Amino acid sequence: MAEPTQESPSSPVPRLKCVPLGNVVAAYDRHSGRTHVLDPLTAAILEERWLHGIEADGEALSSAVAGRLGCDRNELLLQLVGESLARLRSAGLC
Amino acid sequence: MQTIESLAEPAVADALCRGTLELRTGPFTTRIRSEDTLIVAELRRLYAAHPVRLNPDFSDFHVEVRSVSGPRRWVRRQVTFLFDGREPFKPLPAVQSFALFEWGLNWCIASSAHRWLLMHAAVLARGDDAVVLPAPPGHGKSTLCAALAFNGWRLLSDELVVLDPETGEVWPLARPINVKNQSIEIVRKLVPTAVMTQPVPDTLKGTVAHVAPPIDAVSAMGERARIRWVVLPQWQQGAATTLEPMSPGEVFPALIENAFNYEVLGEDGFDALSLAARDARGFHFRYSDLREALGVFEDLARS
Repeated sequence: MAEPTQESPSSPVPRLKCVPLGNVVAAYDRHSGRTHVLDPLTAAILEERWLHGIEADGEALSSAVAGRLGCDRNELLLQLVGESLARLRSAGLC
Repeated sequence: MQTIESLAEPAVADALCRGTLELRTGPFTTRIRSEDTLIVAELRRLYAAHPVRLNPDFSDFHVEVRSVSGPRRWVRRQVTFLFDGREPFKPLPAVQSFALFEWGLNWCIASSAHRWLLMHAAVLARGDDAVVLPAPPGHGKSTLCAALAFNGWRLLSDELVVLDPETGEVWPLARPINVKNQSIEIVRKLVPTAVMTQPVPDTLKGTVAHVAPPIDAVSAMGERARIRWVVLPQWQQGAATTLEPMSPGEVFPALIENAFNYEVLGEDGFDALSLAARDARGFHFRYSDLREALGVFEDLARS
């Protein structure tokens, strides 16, 4: 699960602040000033991309997300990561 | 400490006429100017125990309620509200002068007090545990607020949550409760001793009246509280009384939706509301019977 504050390697100001709220994550994007309520998987994807700069969509991202969430990296996770990425792209966040 | 009731009526009227009376409501001070006799009378009744100063050096807000110029000064007289000399609203009939003052003061706070995170909700406390009641008009928020305020809960505000983003504490305002339409009679029957203005019909909000805050709420105006419960009330005729838990993920957007200046505060606003959502217990509350509602809140306070 995400920590409240994450460091971005490309910026001295961390971009994303996440606060776990039960089964969702409240996320504040310091770049846009927008607030999002995300499922934990989507929040983990954002953090991996913004925190660790993982740009790949497939195996590397799924591995990182699986490690962060403590779940197995399998086909189902790969599919869910793909769906979450699509939603993030349509929201202009990736 | 000087209060309005400690001053004779001519002294209050004179200070208001000259614009030298400053009223304290929670963390805010408001310097008021008005020659309107209704303002003088209702300030003396509804803000009797509030602290005042005469000729202060500095006040947060400078407001005035005055008659408009031209024919409307004499025929179907109208009054207007001024904040730092500007008129944010259209004039209203003179009979609505005190309501205009109240709404105007809400507007002053909501539009400029960005040191705090401000939410449109009622807020009351038991000890230093606060319950926040956000709801759109018609959901029975103010009626419930009035009932609770006179039945063991300390009124902080019926309209504005003043949340300090640095400390997470809610500041009391202890100002009059604005009740509307059928709620006026309901509150009058429930609390016959409450000091209330004459109902004013045909306002933008229907018939309105203001109820003086309980004296203990005014006395405790400096005692801040922490949000422990967020309850979204909904009055529905004939509905059974139900209290359904909300998840923190539901509470958080509900708080944001009711905040006036969430985006102005940026990350500080996010921190304040996400922590409030995480730490408070949230509920959807449906009711039709005020007595039953009071029982539910009593149980909540004991939980």
